[in-house]
Amino acid sequence: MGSLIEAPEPRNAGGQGFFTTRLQHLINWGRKNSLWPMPLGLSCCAIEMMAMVGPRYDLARFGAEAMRFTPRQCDLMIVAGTLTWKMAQAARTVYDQMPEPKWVIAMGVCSSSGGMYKNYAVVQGIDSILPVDIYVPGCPPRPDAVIDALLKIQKKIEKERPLAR
Amino acid sequence: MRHTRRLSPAERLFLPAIARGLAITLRAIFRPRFTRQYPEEPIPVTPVTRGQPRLVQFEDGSPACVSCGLCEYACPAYAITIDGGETDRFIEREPKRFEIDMLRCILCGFCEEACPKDAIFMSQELEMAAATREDHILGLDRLLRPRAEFAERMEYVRGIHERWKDPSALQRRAHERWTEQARRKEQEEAAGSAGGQT
Repeated sequence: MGSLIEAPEPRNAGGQGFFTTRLQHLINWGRKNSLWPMPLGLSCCAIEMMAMVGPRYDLARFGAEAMRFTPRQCDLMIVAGTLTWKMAQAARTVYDQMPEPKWVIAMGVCSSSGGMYKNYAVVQGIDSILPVDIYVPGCPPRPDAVIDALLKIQKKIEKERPLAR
Repeated sequence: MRHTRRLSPAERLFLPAIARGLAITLRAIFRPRFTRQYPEEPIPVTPVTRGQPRLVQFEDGSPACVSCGLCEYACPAYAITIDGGETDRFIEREPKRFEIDMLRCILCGFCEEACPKDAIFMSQELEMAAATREDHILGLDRLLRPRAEFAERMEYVRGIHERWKDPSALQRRAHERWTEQARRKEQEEAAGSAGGQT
């Protein structure tokens, strides 16, 4: 696991008082259990993403079933599929329009590293235009693998310190 | 000219429609559960599952790979990097560095098909999300798995290869199936027409 996931516990971190840390826990609890994904479905991974929201895998169990098709209402961007340079500008705009705090899942190998499209037309990893929190390998990854990534994002949110400056 | 119909008083109440909708919901409550509880219920896997490729390790801890480079050549995504070196063992060559970039790997299984030494197989490991790209570049230390883990997969892959040994057998079997189907259809038609006459 990366260093981001294994950040120190927020409990009493930075000499904060009891009330602040409790409030932080409450905020983190609320944030992690109501992630609203922005489905940036660009190719075949999007089909798997739809399956993930469907009844078989049921993302609603983790409070992340509310797919919003406007970035203004989302806080989790799932980039599912091949991101070409032509699309890159739109993806960046969508990301910029999302309100803070926001997280990004690079779903599938195409968005994570360019995958098998090692050519001039495809972005070789969306981390060249967006900050990515978690990479999901697979072509496409099974819905379970993406749910696993979502759980890891939730773990990461738990360790954030929204009130710290 | 009016294209819409005026609703009847009963319809304007919308109560029957609501009751019908609720009935559907009520029936769904008693239907058997469809959702798989993922983190508790893991993915069902079979030997056919193509997870991430892993390397075979013998009992003495040495890799089965002889670093011939065929998988590297077969890989359509250029995910595999091999640096070969010499060894004192009988096979004389072994990989000094064997890296698979899992963020390139598309799980096609070509490496497994290309390998002449039964050294690389698709495992059943699939949920490997991680926060950095470096975590996804697996070296020999994270790729090697004991040979026993691949027993089922090896058998399955051998089965695939058997199928291609005699391609005419495949055609013959398909032809037999087709003639059998045609014969059965003819019989049914004959029986049907006979039933119509009597």
